[in-house]
Amino acid sequence: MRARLLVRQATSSPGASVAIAVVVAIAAALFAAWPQLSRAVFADEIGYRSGETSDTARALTGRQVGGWPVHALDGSLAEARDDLDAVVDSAGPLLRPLLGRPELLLSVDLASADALTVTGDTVDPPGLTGRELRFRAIPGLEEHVRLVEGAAPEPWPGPSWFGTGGGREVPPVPVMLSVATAERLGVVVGDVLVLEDARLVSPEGGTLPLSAVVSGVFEATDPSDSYWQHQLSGLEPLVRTDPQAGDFAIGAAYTNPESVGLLQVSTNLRPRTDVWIPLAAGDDDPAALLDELIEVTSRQVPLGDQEFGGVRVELETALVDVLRSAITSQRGAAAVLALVAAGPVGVMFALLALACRLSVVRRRDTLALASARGGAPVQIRGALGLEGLVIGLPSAALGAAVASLLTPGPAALGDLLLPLLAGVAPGVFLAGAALPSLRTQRHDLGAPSRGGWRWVVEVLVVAVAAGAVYLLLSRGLQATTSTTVDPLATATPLLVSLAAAVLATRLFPVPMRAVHAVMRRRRDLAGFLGSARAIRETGAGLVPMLALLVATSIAVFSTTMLTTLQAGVAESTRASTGADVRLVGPPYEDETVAAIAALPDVAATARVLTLPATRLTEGTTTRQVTLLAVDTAVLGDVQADVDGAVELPGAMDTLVDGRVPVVVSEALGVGAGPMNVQLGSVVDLEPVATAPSAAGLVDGALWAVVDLDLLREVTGQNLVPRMTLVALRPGADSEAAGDAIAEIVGGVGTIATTAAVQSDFLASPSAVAMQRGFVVTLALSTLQSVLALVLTLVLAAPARGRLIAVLRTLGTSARDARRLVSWEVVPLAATALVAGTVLGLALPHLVVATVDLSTFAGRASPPVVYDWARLGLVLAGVVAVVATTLLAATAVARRLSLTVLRIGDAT
Amino acid sequence: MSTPTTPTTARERVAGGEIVCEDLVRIYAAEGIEVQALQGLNLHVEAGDLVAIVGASGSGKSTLLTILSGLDTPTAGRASVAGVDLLTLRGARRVAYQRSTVGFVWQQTSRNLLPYLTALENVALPMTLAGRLKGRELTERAEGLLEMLGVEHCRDKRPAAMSGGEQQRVAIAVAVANSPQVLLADEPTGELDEATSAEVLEMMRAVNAETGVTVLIVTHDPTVSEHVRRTVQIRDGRTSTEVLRRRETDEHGAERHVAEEFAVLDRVGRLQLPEEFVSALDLRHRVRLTLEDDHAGVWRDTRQDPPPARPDEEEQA
Repeated sequence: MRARLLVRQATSSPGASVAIAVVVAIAAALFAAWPQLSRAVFADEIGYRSGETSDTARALTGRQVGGWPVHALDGSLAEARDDLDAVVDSAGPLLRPLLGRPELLLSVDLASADALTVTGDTVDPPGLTGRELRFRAIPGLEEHVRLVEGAAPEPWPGPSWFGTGGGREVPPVPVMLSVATAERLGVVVGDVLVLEDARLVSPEGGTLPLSAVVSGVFEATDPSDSYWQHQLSGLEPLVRTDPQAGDFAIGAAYTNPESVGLLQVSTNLRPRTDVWIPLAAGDDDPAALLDELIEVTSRQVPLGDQEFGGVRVELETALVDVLRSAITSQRGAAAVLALVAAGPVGVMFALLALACRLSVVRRRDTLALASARGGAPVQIRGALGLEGLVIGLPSAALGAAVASLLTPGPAALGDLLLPLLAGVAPGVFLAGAALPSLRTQRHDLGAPSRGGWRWVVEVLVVAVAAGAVYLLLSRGLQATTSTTVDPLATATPLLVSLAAAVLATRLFPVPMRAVHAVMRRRRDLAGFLGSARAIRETGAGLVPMLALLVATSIAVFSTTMLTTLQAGVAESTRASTGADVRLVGPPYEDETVAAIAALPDVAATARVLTLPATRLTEGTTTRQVTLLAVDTAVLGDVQADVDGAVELPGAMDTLVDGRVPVVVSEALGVGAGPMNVQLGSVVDLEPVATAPSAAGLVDGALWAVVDLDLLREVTGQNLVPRMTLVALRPGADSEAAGDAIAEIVGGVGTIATTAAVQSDFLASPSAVAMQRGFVVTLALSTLQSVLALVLTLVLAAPARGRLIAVLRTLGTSARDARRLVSWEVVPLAATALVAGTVLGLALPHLVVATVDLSTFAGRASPPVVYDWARLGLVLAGVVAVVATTLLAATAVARRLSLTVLRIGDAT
Repeated sequence: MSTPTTPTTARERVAGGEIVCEDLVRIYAAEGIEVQALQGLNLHVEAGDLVAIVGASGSGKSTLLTILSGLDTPTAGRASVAGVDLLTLRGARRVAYQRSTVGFVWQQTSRNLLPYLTALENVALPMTLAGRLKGRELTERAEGLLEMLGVEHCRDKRPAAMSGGEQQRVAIAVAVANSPQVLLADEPTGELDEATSAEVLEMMRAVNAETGVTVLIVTHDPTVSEHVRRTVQIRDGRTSTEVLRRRETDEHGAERHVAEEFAVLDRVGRLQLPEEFVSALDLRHRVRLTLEDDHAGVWRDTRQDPPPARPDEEEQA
């Protein structure tokens, strides 16, 4: 019987229970999905960024610092390999499975160059001006190659006086080459190649030449193995073109590792040790992986015998920067989203409380009767709490399960905390509800007013919110650099929203009094009565106010945040691109540039010739600077939108006293005197201005800008620019323009359009997740507003029903009675809209001040940009949604507030 | 205060509870306003008695009943039901009091019965809350109570499917389910027609007679007093007059109802003159009293003084 009664009691008000179940299920689903999606986005972000990293960049690589090279004289080589294996073995648990076999590369070079010019028995093959060899040895190379002809190189015995035999014999160093290298260099097995510039010191003090003999040629067992990417021109020779001299081929010659020690001690060649450890991509726990990587890369690894200073390497990998930037970007996105989501999460619990209150109020009579019939508060609260759990827990489980099914990746146990909280909340709220009493009483008498306490709580909320904002601002960007979730940073927007809602509720009567004063003079009952009720019936729903305010503020905040980020991205990409379109690569002839300038979408073009390492002399000081020769007349127009573009004075294309006017970087010195540059001939320059930066043209601090045509005229050289900046007309389709330009240049070189870079950027998983998160939270908070309005109207239904019943008996029209419902919500919604807009406009300032947005917007705190047209549109949308909501909620409330007036009804 | 044994049959007799109220005061206070609903009410109801309290709207009778049912606490005075002091009633003792010492029937059926429970379940509810009976025993007792009140046919009906009289009978069954010592009824016939009212009142009399429970009926319906032995009238928060009825059988065997009206005299000797006495003699401000051997006389003050500051109808005997 007890169970039957409990079930009957619980199911007596199904409407409220359904509302609770729906809110819990949605809340649990979102709470469960959020961290999983967040992790998925993070993994995507890592994958996306790792995808932009090559195997060679990702691998742990290191070049020896100090000490003697590792050589094979005393077995150091084996020790060095053991030391490297130890590095792998001692790596952290996440890093270790990702690491491949460590490799040692011993290069044997002259101190001044990394390749040796060779001359041999055979003449240079046709079309080749010169041949060079990179002399190197790799222990374990034989596992990766197959000999096609000849034999693997034997250890070099060294000059004859090193061994037991006397004489002055210098045997050639045996080497092997790849098939492709041998072919391109025109050598065959058995050829002896004289290594120019390599010298042996003879015991008498003179020098002797050194040569190498090709003992064999090989091919790779797997040419696509990343093993070969770690060695320069290991399989294929590099052909370098010198416009004056012709082509040079540079190949790699592999000697026996045991030859290296003797080469070191007997010749002027200097062995150098490089190390690489392949590193596979992994996205399990990027933050922990980063820590382990930093642990490995932050120390020097001693290799082999350390007696003579020893060889040490510092390992490094591009993955550290990739992970760092991915983590920063993900944290930034997560922090911004947490700021946005905190509001709806709070509103969700407020809604649950409201729905629970409704559930209790709708069963007020029966609960009061049960209590009067001897139901102890514990019994009744227990029954309500049990009912709440029975409704809440399955709904939460269902919501979380659906979320888990729909989201990728496994759910962590910690993800279920918030859904569990949502599931337990109805039980807590129901059990904690104020129990109704059968005692008849006048509502205006008896119970002491709660106004005093409410004031205290409200002042506390506002004070805590102000304190939280102050703390957050004073901590600055550190807020998002910690690895754990920062409760203060997350709770602050909710507190601020709550404080704003409290203030709005308190200030709400002020404008309403003015409205009431106007309405009082009119012959309009609904307006008069509605405004009077709005002012005098206190407690005009804090929850719907909060829900509407949060929804509005999220709409405004998201829009502003997106505008701000887009502006930041646009600014930083344009600063790096230099203009709308940037062409780099082949020499751009004047006709090509003219053809580009003639395109309908193109507003202006500017050619840029970059002459790096130009010797600039001022007085007695000579410095190497980057000389930029540009179309000075139009560069300003082309770079009109570019932040940090160099500002050029006019008339740079005419000589000043026979000297070329030049704008120099600030680092070159303000107020510098006359100077000149060496460009074949000496060109005299006259500094006319200094500029802090030349965005898009040059990196680095030492540069000078002159006019291209003037420089051509003065030097008499046909200086052909390899870069062209193009500005597009406003409204031009940058993609089409890019295609048209590509057609003109024949697809040679790279064409970067700012728009493409920008959209690439906004397509990164974090950026996409952020935008989607904005949309989801906006939709959610709109839904919450609808629910809050409906719940509030339903809660107020009995009082309104009595009022309307009285009014109808007094002869009020049905239309006026209906309009009273609108008066309950329209002023509230209008206030929430205004307050929410103000909050939404202010919140981005908090975000840019406390969240590191550098990976999104180029710098940590980009300026907040308001796009008023877009904001207007969004606000119009919000108003439309709220208006529709109000209509729907009012219709629902009207259906629920039909009551019959009964004389003597006390409740 | 609780019944010593667990009654399992509906008709088991209980020791009725005595109701004692002395100088009972209840003041509702809010900022700036005080409403004195009870102004020193005195009432004594013998155990097992059947008493009606009548009074106009706002006379304080509902306040009295709310206090007696343990829902409200008096501001001052003394009130006890079946030995339970109502002024200090709190927490667990209040729950125990409501479970086993009092039962009540309200005017509105919606307040007596839960609309979504059948008659049987409604009767079972207070017993389940008290937790003394379980399973078969509980169902049997509930069925017995319905049978005693003649509504066993409503066993599986919900209140909406019953007539007003049936609803109130089920309500009485609910009220006595936990064998209370006192049954309180607030306008139990307020929403019923005359015939059904009489039926319900007779049913309460029957319950009173069969179980020995003290019954206190609050009503503004003067016809109720015809069904009870003693009727107390409340005026302005005080008991004013009482009507006692008895059946007399004369020498011819004919039974007749005799009703005698008395004014209530409190501990310190105050009494209220009935309204009709006051208006008939045009008594105002003060009266003259004379003490005779076997009665006291009240005379109008013929001097017709101008009214003094304190209008008061009280007289010292």
